[in-house]
Amino acid sequence: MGQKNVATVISIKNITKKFRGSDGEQVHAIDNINFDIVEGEFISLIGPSGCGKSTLLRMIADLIEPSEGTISVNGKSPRQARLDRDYGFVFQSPTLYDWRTVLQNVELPLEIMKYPKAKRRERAEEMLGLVELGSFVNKYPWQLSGGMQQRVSIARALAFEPTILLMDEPFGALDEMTRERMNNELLRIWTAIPHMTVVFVTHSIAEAVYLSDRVVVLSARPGRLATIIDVDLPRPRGPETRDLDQFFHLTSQVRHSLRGGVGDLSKVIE
Amino acid sequence: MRKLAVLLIIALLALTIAPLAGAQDLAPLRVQLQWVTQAQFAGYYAAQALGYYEEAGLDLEILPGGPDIGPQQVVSAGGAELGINWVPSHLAAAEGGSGNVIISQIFQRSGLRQVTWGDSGIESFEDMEGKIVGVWDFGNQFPVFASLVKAGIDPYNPDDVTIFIQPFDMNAFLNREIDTASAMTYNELAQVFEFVAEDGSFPVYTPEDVNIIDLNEFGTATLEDMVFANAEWLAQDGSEALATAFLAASYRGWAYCRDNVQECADFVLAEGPTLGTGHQVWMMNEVNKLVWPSENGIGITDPDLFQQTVDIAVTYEIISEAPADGIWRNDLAEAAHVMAMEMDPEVDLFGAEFEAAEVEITARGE
Amino acid sequence: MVANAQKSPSTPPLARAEAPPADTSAVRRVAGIVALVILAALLWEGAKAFASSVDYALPIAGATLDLTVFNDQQLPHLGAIANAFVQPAQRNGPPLYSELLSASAFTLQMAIGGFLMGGIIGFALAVIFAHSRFMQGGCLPYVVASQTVPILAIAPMIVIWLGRAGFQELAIPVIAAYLTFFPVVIYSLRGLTAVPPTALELMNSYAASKWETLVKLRLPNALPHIFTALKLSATASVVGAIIGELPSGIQQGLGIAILNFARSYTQSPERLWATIVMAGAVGIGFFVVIVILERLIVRWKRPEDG
Repeated sequence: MGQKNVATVISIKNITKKFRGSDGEQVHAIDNINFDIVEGEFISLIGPSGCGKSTLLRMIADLIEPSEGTISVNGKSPRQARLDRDYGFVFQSPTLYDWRTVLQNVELPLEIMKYPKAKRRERAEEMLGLVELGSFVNKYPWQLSGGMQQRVSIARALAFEPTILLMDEPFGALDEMTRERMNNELLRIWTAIPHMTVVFVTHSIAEAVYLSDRVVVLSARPGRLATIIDVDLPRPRGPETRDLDQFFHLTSQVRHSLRGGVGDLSKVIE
Repeated sequence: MRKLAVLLIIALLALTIAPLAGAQDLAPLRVQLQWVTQAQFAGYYAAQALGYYEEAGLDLEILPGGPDIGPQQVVSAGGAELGINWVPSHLAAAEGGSGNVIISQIFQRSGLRQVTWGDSGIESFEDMEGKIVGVWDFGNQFPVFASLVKAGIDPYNPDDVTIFIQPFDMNAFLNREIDTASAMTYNELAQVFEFVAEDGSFPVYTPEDVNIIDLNEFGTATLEDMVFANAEWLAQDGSEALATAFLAASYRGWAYCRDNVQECADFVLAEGPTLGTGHQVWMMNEVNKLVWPSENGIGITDPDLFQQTVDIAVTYEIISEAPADGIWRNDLAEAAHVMAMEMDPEVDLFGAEFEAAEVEITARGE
Repeated sequence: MVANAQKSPSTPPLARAEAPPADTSAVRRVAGIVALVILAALLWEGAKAFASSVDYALPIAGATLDLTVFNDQQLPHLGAIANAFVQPAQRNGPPLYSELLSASAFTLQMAIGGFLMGGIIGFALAVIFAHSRFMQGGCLPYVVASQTVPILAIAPMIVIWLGRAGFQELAIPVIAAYLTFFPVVIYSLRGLTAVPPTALELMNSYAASKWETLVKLRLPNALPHIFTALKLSATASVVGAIIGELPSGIQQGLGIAILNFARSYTQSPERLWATIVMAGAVGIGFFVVIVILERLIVRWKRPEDG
């Protein structure tokens, strides 16, 4: 992605998160994390469960607040970025509203953002076309498969043209075959929208490597930045990418980082 | 076009105001009955239907009662200016501070009877020793208790007598589960005769099959239906005139019902479409017997009978002591006599010649 | 798919698969209801026939079970009850069913008034409680406590208070509302608050206002719950209206009919039963109307959800 602009979009400085658990004990979720994300970058956050990767994503989205440190999004506070609707968020569950048709679900953010009716429809149909669900606009969510539902949720996140897409294990609940298909879909969409930055939380090493420009590896509780691995696989990527030796090496490198033996093994792989 | 619209609006306004203007001449007044619409209250319904209240300058609203309606409570609370109730209930409420006052005693005698089977050999209260005696609850048992005591039987001693609390119906008596039952002449007594056997045969029982023991004759009856007023309201300017007008019109209604049993039953039936025709005609006729003849004229309280009621109420602790004077008054009733005769010089408020009609018992009271 | 159907009249498999099952389920549902009614009727008449055959006394383990409740006096034949409908309510008067229909119309009118009043108040309380933890903590216990007070005890007071205030015609709807608002509060509150956390986060991510979150998320999310409450309230409002008629001294509703026929039960029990059947029909009818409304409004539910 060398040809892309290197302007910093999201800057994470000294972020620490502590919260009170249900048993009253203080939980130290994230400890002093620092890194930057640049424009147009596809970056994955990976780590064992409980490492705070989803928490970090939610702090970028201003859905929760950090205990210490600062985050800037597009040069603003996360709150201002949220109020400016700078990002779209895709949850692990599709989080479609049952009472809305597919089209109405995609129109939801546009309604809240006071788009004119005709514009709403046009955008929603365009986005559903992008996720290849153009013929399902009048279905209700329960009439769609899990993968289709998640595509609707991506279309919804992109409908208001945010420059940043935050994704919290969006394909975690899907079977392996569907997940790989969805990965290709996502890459196609990301490529179709210039300068869009994606922050992608996952617990799948292969997924992180396959999709990303960089993989941010977090260690277990309290979540610390273990390492950031550059993924210099050629784009466009496709099924053949997974067969490359380089792909294998990179996944091994991530796996070893996750186990904590960062330095030595990365050398071995290289 | 515009003129037409203005005219239309004026016409509409006139239409809506016209009935109001008519009603404005009439004084609004409410009377709370102690039970649902039935011939027990026929005199009021007749006066309403015949326009007597209107003639007396009243816009009267009759508020029927029901199982959850205490007329004393309603009148005390100002839900109605006047009420119809039995005297013992009035005494109890008055002692509790209801501030209501009796202004006219409509029923001159009690309709409460104790019935026994003709073949049982129980012909008096004295004969009830060792028997199962059915009574009603909620204070209605006390006239019967007073009768038993007068007959030398202690109602509170199970060795003397077994007291059975009757439900609304006469089933326990009809099934001979109890030896004797309380019955109002105008209601439960009829139910015995209106009974139809399972095989459809009727009549099963006639008046010859039962002994009817009259508490009036035994000297243990308490006074029943009377008209009472909210004393605070009555003390206001003009209220006495309204109360008098109500009584005058009501007396005329009762006098009419004395002479027109069927028609008065029909007035009631029109207001209560689920009531049985035969039963209401019977009730009308029996209620007439409680009102007429009226020795001192309709609505006048007999001090001796009132005292008898008070004595029983005190004895059975319905009230702790006799009420102060002024709990009842006859002056409004007397003034109402004058007013009624001014309205209709022909009206007979004494019924000295009264003889009850013969009313046919109908199957199921239909 | 439509184009397909036009091309090949030999029934496109999809269209065929979609339409008929709905029909059979409706037929089966009706058949089920009919079967249930027939079963109940058979039980009723069967119990009567059995009790009659043993002369209303069944010896069991040394004791004798009294079966007189099954005699014609206590439990009239269904035919007798049906016949009571067409017999005149009063000598030479209109048949009982026409009196009961007009009584039902009155009671239903009162019930609908109470239903609407209770529904609106209940929903408003739920919205307040959903947005204010303080109000919920402070007031909800009283809402719950209100239902432990027997309606029979407070109905006369409501009648007197409203009568004093000059709103006696509101007494019955208010009494009915007393029974109907509670389920609406509880179910609406649950519907408004039991929103998946991510659904709320979604709204936050759009920087949606509280109002938008209420209208676009909480409300539609609560609708199925609210309809559950409304179905309960529909039948409760009829019961409330009948209860409310008694202390109101109303002479034209089902309440007075039940009271009058109960008092002459010895003479004609089938009329009381006919009135009970009518009251039941009114409640069921109201319930069915709400179910139909739910079908029309809550269209997004998958069929197996009912």
